[in-house]
Amino acid sequence: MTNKKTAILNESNYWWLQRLFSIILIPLSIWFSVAIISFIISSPSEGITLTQLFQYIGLSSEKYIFIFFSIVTFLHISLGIEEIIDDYIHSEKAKLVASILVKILVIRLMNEVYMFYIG
Amino acid sequence: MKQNRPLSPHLSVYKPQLTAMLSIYHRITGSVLSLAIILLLFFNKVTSLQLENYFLYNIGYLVNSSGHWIVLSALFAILFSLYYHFFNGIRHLIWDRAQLLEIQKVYQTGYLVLVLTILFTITTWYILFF
Repeated sequence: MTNKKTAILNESNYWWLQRLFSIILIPLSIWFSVAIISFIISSPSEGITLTQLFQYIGLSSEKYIFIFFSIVTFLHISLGIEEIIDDYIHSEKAKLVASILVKILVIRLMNEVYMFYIG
Repeated sequence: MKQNRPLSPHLSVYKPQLTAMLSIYHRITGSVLSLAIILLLFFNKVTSLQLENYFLYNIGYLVNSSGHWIVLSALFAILFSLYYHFFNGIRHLIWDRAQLLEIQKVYQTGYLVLVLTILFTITTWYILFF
């Protein structure tokens, strides 16, 4: 997938990076789930909307942990999807195009999260 | 190109075993979770910004009222995928340290992952809706 002469990281580095991200995500995802569920329980209204949930994340004092969580999550997603692409797409050109598209999509999604959390 | 080359047996030939199923479902749930993040951000944008379009308003109303069976089953699938990917990911991390790799231990931890996933999913569902 990557050009071996110009790539900064080789495949085993990507393997280690994916493990690093998943280890970071273990406590962060527990914290995230507890925060979301306790917010949903503590809300006085009958049910809460998706918009309210995102507003809560944007206004909460821990939003920088949310941002860190989302960045690590998106890097984890990017590496994971590229691993799947590597395994199941056999044409080299299609593989290259798909991995570039995944990178663009992940950057676009990170931009979206950043706009909602900070802006 | 030479015709009639021997093929390795297709995946459907094998008897479905717990180990192989757990392994492929790790990938499937990972993909489901990334799709879920895309859908969440998409619906959040659509439902908060595009309210003057009646079709999009309807979608937003459907998602936000959260009582529709499509939304509920999607939420259940996301919850199940989240817990499954979490527990099985921990199992994979333990394997990467070359521990618990005996076939008996692999089956035991596999069943443990399934039980924990179902338990946590049902508990969270109960906390959220009852």
